[in-house]
Amino acid sequence: MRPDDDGFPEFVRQQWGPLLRSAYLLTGDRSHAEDLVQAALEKTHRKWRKVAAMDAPTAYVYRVMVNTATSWRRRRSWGEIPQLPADTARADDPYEQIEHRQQLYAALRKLPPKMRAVLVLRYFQDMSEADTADIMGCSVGSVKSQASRGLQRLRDHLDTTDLRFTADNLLGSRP
Amino acid sequence: MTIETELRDEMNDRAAAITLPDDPWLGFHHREVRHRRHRRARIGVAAAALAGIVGVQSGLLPVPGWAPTVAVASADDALINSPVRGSLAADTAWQEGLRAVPEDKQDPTELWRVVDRDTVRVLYAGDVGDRRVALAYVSYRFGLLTDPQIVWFDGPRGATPQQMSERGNLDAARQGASLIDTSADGPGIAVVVGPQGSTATIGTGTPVTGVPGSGLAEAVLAPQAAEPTITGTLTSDGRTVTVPGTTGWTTTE
Repeated sequence: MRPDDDGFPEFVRQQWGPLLRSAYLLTGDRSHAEDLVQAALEKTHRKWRKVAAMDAPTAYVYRVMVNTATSWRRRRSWGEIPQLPADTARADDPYEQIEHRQQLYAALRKLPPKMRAVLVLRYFQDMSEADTADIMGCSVGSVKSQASRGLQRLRDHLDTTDLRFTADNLLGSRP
Repeated sequence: MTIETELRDEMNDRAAAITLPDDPWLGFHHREVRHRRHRRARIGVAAAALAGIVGVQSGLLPVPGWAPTVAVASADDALINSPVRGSLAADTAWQEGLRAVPEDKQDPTELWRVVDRDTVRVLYAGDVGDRRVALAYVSYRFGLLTDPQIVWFDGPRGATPQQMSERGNLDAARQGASLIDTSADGPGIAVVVGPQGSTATIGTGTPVTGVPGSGLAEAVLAPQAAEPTITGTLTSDGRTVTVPGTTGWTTTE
């Protein structure tokens, strides 16, 4: 059997898309997401014989990816200098809804990596709390509390932004 | 609408905008082979250098610029060895000035220094719209580790090298790089740089393709009301790859 016939190429073909999309939400940057998926799959490849025999090889690669994302972020903290949209919007703006969503995404990017990972796994991957806990290597209680605190931070960020629109509009400070 | 629903919708929309290669295995395998080769080389060098590592890595012993180091990533030779592209390709004095611009990088616990400014190589420099943009290969060092990067710089049109600022960086193992900078309030720019011999394309509504084989595409973009999804691609030998890069979208009130 050729090394490439061990099922790993097919695994990469099937999982690259879902992994890349999750990695993009974890990192907020496409190139870093690609590097992250590459790193996670390379680590998985090295143990593929063992991983392929597992009940859920996909869970394993997600676990590797989330763990790598945390350390990756630490190492690459100086890497990208993204320009986030300004955290302001206008209530009478025809693009209000779009800007509201932009604010939500910007707030997600500001969350600590592990908290963001919990939200990505729970609300993008639609994983159960138990599966998320398994991938994150923590308890179900910890997932519940990280998700709850993460959502609260997003709400707080949006509330602050909305209050700012209202105050600005009342003061007529906008043209 | 609950925050959970909004978050789910936003993440789904963002993720759906990510374009995927036709066969991800090919790209993955190519990079994995390269990484494996470099990992083996690093292990050999690391073993040879082990005796000196502790003192040098901790910063107690200075490392001269010529000293051998362990690369934590490799560089794409085809890109790095391509000729300088862009409207400033012939302006060697400006390019020389840009070598002084890259800054050392402070990771939380590590100071990555520019290895040797003589090794900084300008890959692209030019004016696009009202901006001046440059892409350079820069190698950083932390103790005995080196990390080659390709770094984007930008400034106002006609800027001197000293007026240029770093915009972002990528591992130099990349086949190419893109800088896509848009705004709600004015024109934006997009630049895609790849190895000479490839054909670069900017995937806007109407794709902008550079001169075939030049490995370069440049465009001035119309104002964007919301953060757009614009990707750069490189086509070579009938194979098209998406180019990673630095993106930005700004708005002011």
